[in-house]
Amino acid sequence: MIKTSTIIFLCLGLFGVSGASTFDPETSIVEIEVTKETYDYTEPWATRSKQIRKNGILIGEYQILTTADGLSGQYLCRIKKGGSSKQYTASLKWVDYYANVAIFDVPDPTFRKGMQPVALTDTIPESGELQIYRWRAGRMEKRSAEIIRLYSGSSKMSYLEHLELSVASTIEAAGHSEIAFDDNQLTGLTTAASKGKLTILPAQFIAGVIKSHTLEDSGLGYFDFKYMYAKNPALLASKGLNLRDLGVIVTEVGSKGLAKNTLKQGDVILAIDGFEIDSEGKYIDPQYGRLSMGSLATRKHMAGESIQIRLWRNNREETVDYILPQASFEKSLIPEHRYDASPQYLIAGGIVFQPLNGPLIRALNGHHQFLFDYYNNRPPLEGHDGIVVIGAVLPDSYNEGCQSFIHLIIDQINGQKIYDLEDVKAALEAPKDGFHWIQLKPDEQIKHFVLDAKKMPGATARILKHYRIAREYSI
Amino acid sequence: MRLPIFIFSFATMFCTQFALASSERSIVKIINFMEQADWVEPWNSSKIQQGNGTGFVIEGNRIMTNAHVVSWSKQLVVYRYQDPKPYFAQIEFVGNDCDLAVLKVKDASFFKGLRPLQIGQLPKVRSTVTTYGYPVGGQQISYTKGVISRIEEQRYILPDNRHLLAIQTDAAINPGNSGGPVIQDDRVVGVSFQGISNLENAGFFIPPNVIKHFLKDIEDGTYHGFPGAGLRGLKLNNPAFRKALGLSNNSIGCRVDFISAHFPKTRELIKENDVILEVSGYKVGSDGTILYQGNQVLFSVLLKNLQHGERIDLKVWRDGNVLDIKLPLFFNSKDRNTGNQYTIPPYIIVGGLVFTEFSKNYIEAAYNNGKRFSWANHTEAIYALYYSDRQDDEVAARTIPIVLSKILKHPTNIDFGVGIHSVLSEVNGQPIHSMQDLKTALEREGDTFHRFRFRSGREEALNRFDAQAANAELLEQYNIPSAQKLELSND
Repeated sequence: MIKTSTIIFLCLGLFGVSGASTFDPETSIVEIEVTKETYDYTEPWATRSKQIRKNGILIGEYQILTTADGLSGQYLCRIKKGGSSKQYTASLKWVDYYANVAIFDVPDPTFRKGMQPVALTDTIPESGELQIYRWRAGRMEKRSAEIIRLYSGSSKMSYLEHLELSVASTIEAAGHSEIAFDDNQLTGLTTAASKGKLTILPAQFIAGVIKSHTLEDSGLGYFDFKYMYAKNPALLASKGLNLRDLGVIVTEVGSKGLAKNTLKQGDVILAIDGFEIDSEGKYIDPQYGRLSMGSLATRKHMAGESIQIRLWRNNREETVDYILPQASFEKSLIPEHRYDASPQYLIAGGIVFQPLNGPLIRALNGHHQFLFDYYNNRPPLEGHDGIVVIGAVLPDSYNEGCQSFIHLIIDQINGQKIYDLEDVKAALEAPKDGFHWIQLKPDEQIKHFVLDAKKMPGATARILKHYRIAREYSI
Repeated sequence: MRLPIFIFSFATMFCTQFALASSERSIVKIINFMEQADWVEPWNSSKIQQGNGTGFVIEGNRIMTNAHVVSWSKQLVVYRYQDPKPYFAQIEFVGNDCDLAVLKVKDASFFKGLRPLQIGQLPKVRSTVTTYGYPVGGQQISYTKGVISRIEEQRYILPDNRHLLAIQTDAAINPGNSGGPVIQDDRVVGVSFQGISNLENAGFFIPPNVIKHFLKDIEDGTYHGFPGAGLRGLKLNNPAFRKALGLSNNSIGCRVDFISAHFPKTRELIKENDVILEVSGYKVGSDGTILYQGNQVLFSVLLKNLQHGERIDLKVWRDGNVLDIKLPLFFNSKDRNTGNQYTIPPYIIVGGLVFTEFSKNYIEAAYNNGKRFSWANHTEAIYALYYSDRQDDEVAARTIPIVLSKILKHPTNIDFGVGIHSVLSEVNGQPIHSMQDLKTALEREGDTFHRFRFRSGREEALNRFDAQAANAELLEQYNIPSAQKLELSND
């Protein structure tokens, strides 16, 4: 996440600067043009550029609020106000990809002229109509939307769970941070659209994220365990519990690599943070009614805080303190996302070593071997930081016979276990009897191959030149 | 790339009469009324289907045809050339790994006047052959002529997980030709069996050495199958790798990359990174091929010329020395669930929960039926199925995943919180690696409950007594003959 060195001590109340005035979308909503680097993980050395447009809304001290979606790799953002103004260069104050929230500043003081920040609502409407606004071709577009339901769902950008609104609207090609208003208050930003439905990130949740960043605290947390419903009375009875319609059973702990302690497989969770959990994993929220328990991680707590969990274990009830872990893709065996980071790779003798991660798997578009999916569905392996694969082979006389060794998982190089590219680099500095002995995972379709250590630097230089690749590695 | 392959049997019939030639009289039309297994509800079967194929008379008043022509047979009807009288045949031996079968006919008059066809030698590439059969498009016997295009190992679609020598020809081979002879100089040089759909003018037939291997195998009254060594030999072209192994860059010898856990004897005698220089006196190239009767084929062809339990002579390079090794070869049945099976799957029903073996056939059935089967949700089970031979752990190597294929709904299990296609890891505290493990675990004395744990980490329980009562009611309700069937059979 990006933060500037300047900390502005704002509190939520300061965002309510225009709460009483009538909302004029043309003075509050802006169009954001994002120019960014994009990457092709199948050619990790290649950087391309792309431009997207999305919407933002002025809040607080003339800061621009938008979703984080689409900002990864950004290096030039420009703001247009009123549908036809000059382009103001904006600086990204901070972005939280996990929560899908970002704030921009516009240094040019003339930008503020005629602009009016708006207030964020501190409640989420559960029924009725909203208005959706955006700039399109220099004109303000307004559509109505009917609230379908409030629910607890996963963030578009991460596995975090929080409240979301589902609304029905006829607006087309939305989901790019269009602005949702309820009377004069900002209700939320759109994050996705599908078949006449929009998903809205509620302003109430956004306000919490902004507060967290203002106070520089530890960010949002996540319950790093999986559970199943406990609807079968025989299952609870087999654990000595004579209950019905209460509790869920923990089936896996630490699948995201965040927290392996406190909870155990087979625990029956009866209550979290004082809320009873029913047999379908729901609790009764005092404000919003029945919601999924996953959102309790983001409801009133931040990462690092302790949450009491009442559970049934070994035929007796216990209460444990669950330290809410901070969401972090990097702790997974195979990171699901990488934001604001170019692909990592290391080319040695034409063999392109790459860490296995979500962007690489998605870039292969299904054309990858089964083992990627297998390891992607496994919890982190003991002592494993990650997995390194051969992403590509750049054919050359040096690597003759290895051209088809693509998408294979490395186990060892020269007897050293390989978990990341630093390991590859270090292992290649210690050849055995003049050769690099490369061993793939035992379940791979090939287990061994060998490269000439002495000729490798020369071959790498020749191959980089031949394939017009500027850098040997990016780690 | 794995090309789609199809096999040449089809559905429809009738025959008329016409002129004779001695080979033609020995070629018979086969109609198979079959009932295939249901991999999800193993006590049920598919509806009756009809398939047509071809066969030919061989020594001993027998008919040779393809195994796939007679698969899942409930009734086999055979017709002589230009004779409308139906005769009933039975399978004497079937080799699903080589797609061959031998039939017998109770009525001895069937063979009257029929000359058994003789099996010839491996034909030469570019030589001409004639195929005989009853393919789609007409009722009478059909002949096509063509040349032999190439000879090499191919995947046999019937077992799907076996590769044997096959001959490609441009003679038209169509559905219904399956099991028919390919003749050269009045001798059978092949049995038509499969094609590759996006290859034009190309059909495949089973060569004489595979036919003879099958016939020799059944001489003792039991069919064992084609043996293997469990070796994965890979090309050894990279000069650095050759040098690292102490070999000159002379294109001789292929490298042993991996040895299957299903072949412990091979693991004992051969080591990874051994280099195979010679097999049965044939020099092995760095690409793993030998020159075999004028054809460049993989050296594994030689292994498959031997019978189950026989030894093969290898010259192996290891640590700068040449070793002479007599390697015993075995038919591998431990990987049966990774290929197509032709026996009814085992099952156990407990409290309405149906458990059976996870297999290639099961995956296809679940996927094709759209029964909420997702590859991504079953990576552990698929790994256990297809990667067991990579494991060093003996138990992991022999594991056959056991899957919850169906829940026959009953008040006892109506709130069961684990979905179909889930794979068991433990029952009543016992790890489950086979149907027999499941049976033993369920019979284990314990408390009031059967406790199930699945590979997903999910767990469930049933009251033992309620489960027993539910079983009795459900067997009655769904007309299920038995709550369990563990042995593999065709009935």
